[in-house]
Amino acid sequence: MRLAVAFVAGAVFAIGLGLSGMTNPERILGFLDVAGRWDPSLAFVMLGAIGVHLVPARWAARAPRPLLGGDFDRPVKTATDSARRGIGAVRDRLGCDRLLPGAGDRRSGGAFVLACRVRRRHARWQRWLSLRPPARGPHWSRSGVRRVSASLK
Amino acid sequence: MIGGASAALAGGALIGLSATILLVSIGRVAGISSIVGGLMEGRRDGLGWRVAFVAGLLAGAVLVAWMIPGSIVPRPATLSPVGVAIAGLLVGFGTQLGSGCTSGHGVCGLSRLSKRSLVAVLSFMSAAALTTFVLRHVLGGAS
Repeated sequence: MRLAVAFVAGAVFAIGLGLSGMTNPERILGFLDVAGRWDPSLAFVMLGAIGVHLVPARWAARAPRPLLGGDFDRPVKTATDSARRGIGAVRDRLGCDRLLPGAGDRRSGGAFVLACRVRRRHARWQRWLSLRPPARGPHWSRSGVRRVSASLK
Repeated sequence: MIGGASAALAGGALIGLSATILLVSIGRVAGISSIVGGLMEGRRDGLGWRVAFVAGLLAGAVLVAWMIPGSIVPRPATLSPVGVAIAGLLVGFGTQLGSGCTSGHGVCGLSRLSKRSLVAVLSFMSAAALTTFVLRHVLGGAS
């Protein structure tokens, strides 16, 4: 069943490519040749694909399992995520949360407080986009974020 | 010549549908370069669905070549087979380095609103446009 589904998906993909003009090198070059006789129509391929895939992708980000069982192959983030984790680790070492208990400490916090605020807004934004599952368990960002937002209000 | 914006939109919708089928039913990302890359690495896990997907791609290509004659152009008129092979090597190298291609980063990644994919798409699109500009207008190949 899984194999049949993968086969059908592959076939649909190829038909989509052929129909859209993505299998014609001249069209591709026309799309890329911004300074020449630019043919922007291939932008609609991306538009159509994302338009169809956007909602299912958001569903998949929340769903516990795919319809046919197994689990989701969530792309492993490398560059940006490890950078973020690095910043998080440094912030943790330095005790960012302790810099934020009240207004008085904010001055001493300086750049860190700013960084934390940005981080907090970012976390909220990501939650809204549901890129990450809701907070569960003690994780530096989530627990920290929550305490911070409560104390600042 | 088939084409125009409406065909592009319809074809794109089919690509989105394909990515949706794969993600919703078996939880896999329809990134062509990653799927083929996994095959090249000879990874055992997920061998079945990768082979099935690529077989579907090839079958679909045969079907579409039959349904819409002239839709699949084997190679650009201005490039020799050796040139195509070199270009293919570069694509393979680049997509593995950037962990994704137009389908993986462009369709699936952007649909997930992934920042990393947005960066990837902007990089490869601008690099491709720049290459085209240099080849066509600076070095002056085919106009």
